[in-house]
Amino acid sequence: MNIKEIMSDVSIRALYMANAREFLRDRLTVFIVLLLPVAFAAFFGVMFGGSDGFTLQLGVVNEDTGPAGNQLLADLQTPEMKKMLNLHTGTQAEMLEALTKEKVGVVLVLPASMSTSLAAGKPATVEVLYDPARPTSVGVGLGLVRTLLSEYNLVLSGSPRLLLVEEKSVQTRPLRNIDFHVPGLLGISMVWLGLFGTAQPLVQQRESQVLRRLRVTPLTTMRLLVAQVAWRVTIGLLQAALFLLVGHLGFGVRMAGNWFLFVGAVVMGALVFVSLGYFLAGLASSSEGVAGVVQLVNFPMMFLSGSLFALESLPAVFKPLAALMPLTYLSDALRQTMVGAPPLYPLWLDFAVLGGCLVVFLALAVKFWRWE
Amino acid sequence: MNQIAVEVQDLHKRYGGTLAANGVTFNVTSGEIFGLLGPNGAGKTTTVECILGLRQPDTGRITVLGMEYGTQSRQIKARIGAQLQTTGLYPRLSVRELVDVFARLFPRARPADEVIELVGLQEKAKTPSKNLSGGQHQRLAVALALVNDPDLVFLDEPTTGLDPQARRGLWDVIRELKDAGKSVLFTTHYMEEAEQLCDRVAVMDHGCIIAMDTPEALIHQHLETAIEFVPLSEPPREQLATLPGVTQALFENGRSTLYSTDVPRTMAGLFDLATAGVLTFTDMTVRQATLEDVFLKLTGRRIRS
Repeated sequence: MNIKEIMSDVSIRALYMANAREFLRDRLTVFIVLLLPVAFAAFFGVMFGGSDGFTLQLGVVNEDTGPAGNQLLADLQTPEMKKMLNLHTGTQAEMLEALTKEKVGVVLVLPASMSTSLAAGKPATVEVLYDPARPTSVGVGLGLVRTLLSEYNLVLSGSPRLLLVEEKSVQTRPLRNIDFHVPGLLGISMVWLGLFGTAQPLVQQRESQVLRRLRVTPLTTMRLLVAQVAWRVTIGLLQAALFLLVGHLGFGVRMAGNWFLFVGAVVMGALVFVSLGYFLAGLASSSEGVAGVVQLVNFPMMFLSGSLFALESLPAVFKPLAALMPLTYLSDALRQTMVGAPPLYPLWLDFAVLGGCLVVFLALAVKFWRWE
Repeated sequence: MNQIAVEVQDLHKRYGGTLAANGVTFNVTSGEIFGLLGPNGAGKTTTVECILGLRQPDTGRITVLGMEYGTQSRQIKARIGAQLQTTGLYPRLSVRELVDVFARLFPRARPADEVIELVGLQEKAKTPSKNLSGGQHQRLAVALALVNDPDLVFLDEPTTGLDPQARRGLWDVIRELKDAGKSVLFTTHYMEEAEQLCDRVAVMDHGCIIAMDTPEALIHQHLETAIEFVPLSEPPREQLATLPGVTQALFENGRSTLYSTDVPRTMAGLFDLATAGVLTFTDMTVRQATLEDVFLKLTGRRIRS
């Protein structure tokens, strides 16, 4: 059967439309399968949208009475610097309080003798205060402060900089949290399409004997499956469009990848998880049973695939498990082809693994398929 | 023309330890209304599922409209229509939409409106099927069975759950099918229905057909007149069963039934027993035996328990 035959087949079209109407009129399923993942993406966008990039809250206690201290303060407030840090000044007591209240991450104490020491060509010691209980701000903060001070040293000593650093991001646009979450959640939505949009309705259809009734017509199994799968791939594509739209309008997520490969990844993902849904529907004998099986697949897939959280944030024990989740490869492929994220695996490997999963799931689906 | 619509020959089907069909043999002639009767678990469903191609017989041969499953499954299915006990199709599709969908699954189909009108669902054409009553659902299922203008129609307890008026309406539909030269195979719990509609009936029990004939002939062959009464004390079973003219005596649920070929002599014997004080009874009726009685006599069970 080629595409043209499928499109012009009256029975396939009739069943496709029946599936579409049945789905679109079922508000709960539409909500779970189509809208909930987008709502999740929006939620993540709002939650983590503000914390893009890192700004150091830097406290400075200027005890120096001479020009050097003031010069340093002024240099820290250039527009260039303001991108990286927020400057707070005050007495040592004030700054220590700010440090304990987490208003500043790192405090620099410029010694009283700084100007005189520098004028005499002697080194001056700048104290750096931090709270080791807050590793993130300290880690980044200390690094930033060290860089700043060594830059400043070079300027003060007047020696020429031999090694120049020119920063060029390989990204046309830096990746933000939301750019990471949108394709990840699109991947999860493909899993839900297979579980809640395929496995569960199939078992219900089996229980209500729709499938049994359809068997007493000249309809072939092939045509029934083509109609059902085609409709679900359509949902997958609708889903992707919705994600692009909400991501773009709501959070400025831009399509930075390859359209052709992106659509390919969406279709591939839909096919993989829809066939997984068929397999699970074959395993479960009742709608209560399938609800359990579905959750059994859903949770590990959601949390261990690096779709919801970055893989680096997972405990080391779970990391090998991520490599076993088909969703890991789908999310990676979607991130690469949608927002141009750095690859976790080469794109060809993602597609190859998904293709392998599709073959395996299809074989299992056929093996376990039950009409009633 | 006396063609055969369905031919079932020595059908055997085993599920685990139970023989659901144990050598079932019968024919449905073209243009005939054929009723399959039997208590639950008698093997009716299995037999029908094999005829519809939903199951494969272990052994035996099934020919439908002169064709066999396997090589000609699709051709057979294009020309048969089935109303099954389904609890729901696509629940959010309307009656009209469902009839349309099914019409498109067949190479030829009757106009949707015609079929909907036939079962009297015109006013519900736009109603989602999940909002239909049990009886309306049943009629929708019949409509779907007729949508392809089938030569053989199978109806599974089609009037169960219908009100008397709708039931008579459906009887008319079935008779019209016969008039149009179609063959109808159906199962029912209602003996009255089988008597009214069927050209022939087969009674099944324990996977076998135990009787098969026209309803009149069955009643005539097996039974005569039924004398029913409610005994007020434990009835003398032996003596009742051997009264003059009695062919069979049944005692169940506080009710006794004597089948008799000679009512006056049986009655005389009964009254003798009563006078002798061996039997006290009340609420006596004497009536013509029905198909229900045949069923009771043949299987020892009422068709609905």
